[in-house]
Amino acid sequence: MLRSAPASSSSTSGAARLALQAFLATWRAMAVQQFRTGGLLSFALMSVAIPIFTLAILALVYRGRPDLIGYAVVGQSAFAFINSAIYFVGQFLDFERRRGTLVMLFLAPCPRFSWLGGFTMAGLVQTAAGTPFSLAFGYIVLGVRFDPNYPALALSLALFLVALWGIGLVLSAVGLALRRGNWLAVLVSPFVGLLGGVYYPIERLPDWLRYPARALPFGYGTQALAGSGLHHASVPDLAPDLLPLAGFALVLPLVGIAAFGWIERLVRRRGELDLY
Amino acid sequence: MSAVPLEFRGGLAYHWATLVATVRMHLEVDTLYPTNVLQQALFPVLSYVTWRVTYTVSGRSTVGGVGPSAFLLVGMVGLLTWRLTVLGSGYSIEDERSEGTIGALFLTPVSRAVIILGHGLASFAGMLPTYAVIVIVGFLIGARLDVTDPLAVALALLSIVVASLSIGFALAGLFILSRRGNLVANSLQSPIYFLAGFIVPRTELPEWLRPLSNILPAGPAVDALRASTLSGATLGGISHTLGLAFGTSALWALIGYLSLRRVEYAAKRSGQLELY
Repeated sequence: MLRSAPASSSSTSGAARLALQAFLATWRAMAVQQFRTGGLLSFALMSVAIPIFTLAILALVYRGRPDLIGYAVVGQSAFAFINSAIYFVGQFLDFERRRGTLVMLFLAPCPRFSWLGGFTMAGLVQTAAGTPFSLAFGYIVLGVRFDPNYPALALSLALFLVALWGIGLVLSAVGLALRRGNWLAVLVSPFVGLLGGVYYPIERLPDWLRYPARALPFGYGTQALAGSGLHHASVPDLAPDLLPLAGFALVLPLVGIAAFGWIERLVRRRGELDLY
Repeated sequence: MSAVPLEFRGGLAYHWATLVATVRMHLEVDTLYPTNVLQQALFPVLSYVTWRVTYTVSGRSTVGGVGPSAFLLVGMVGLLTWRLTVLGSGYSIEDERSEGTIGALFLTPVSRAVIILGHGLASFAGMLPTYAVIVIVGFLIGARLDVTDPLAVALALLSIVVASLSIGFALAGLFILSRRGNLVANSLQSPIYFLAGFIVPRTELPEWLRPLSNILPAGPAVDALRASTLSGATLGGISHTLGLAFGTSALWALIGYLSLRRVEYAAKRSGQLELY
């Protein structure tokens, strides 16, 4: 049956297999590289210590406000995923450029989004592995009690991650053009801290900050995760946050793919791909 | 005088020339990319606004006996100085490694300490406009100063710079040894923000953490600056705190001097100096 399949179908499945292999190989290579160069210490410092100490600061600021401490625990976990999306891919591309291997990466005969997906997955897995430590710190040390609605939590997380992947692609593309993806991420991150609802719910922001915050996906995602993870909110309860988040999850990956393709062509035409 | 080659000048002139060259080189590299200039300038300002909003959301109208805007203004001066000098000085040697120039640097007869000091001072000098912006933002959002002894303020400011430089110097060896200076430097930020009282008063820390907080010179230095700028404290009133800040700074600088020599020797002996 397979032998008699049309050539186009066969080449499509071959391309898909190649993309999957490239995705898995990139993911594996990045995970091994991260572990070998940084090891457990790197994981403990970046994915465990930073969020826990930030939570400790927030717990002191929010002393006597258990509702805000609970929100902050979820918010900082969401912030870890946001940072993973905005830092990892750009940072890996910076590394490739520094080592002089960026051009080879772009010349590899596999889809861009397979190895970009592998980069993203390496960051995502590291972040996901660190999140339980923050949540456990919230539960054990700060006394936060979780009451999750699992279907709503799963849907919120899925939409949030897809939207973040799209944003990550856009920023990676811009970082490629600027030749400094990491610095771009450092530039963007404090804006996310201010407007992303990761320290406080965005409805508590003053008007002049709340309006721009509502134009970004971060606050909707964090609010949906907090509602479903802390207060057993169902999907219908979370509709005001999930609907805009779904819109972002639909649009941002398309924008990201288009932006990456466009900027890549631009950079190659200018001959700047491996300029440092 | 300037026609005399560097290596034939006297000891002090030789160090001075090295220092000036390092500062100039650091400033030139730092201002090469607009993304870098922007991210360095915006990070502290956005952090200030974010933490100010966090305090507003918490409902606290006073922090450490003063308004949150004033409290955080001094904290942000400490945070910025810490961030700049630790990243600028401690990370500088590690940066030479990633640029592939560490071997050449360690073959030259220049003082490592002068190189690190040069990078730290350049980071500090390059961000002077940002300090001004933070102060302006502080006044706009309600921070008010109460200064009675300008000499106390000057010495407290100096103690923050000295404290940060000494820690950066002490960490330089660790950054070389870890081969991941950027990661270690970034990971240390949240714990230091927590322990040094940049964002919450050190008096609100748990009792068992206070001794640990005291051995970090940035903590007493920020306390001294807060007392002299926000509560009208005189030099006599902050002498004990200043003594602690300068004393612990000297200790960290000594640790840095000894460890850097040891680490350089170990890295050369094990052939790891240029490994990345």
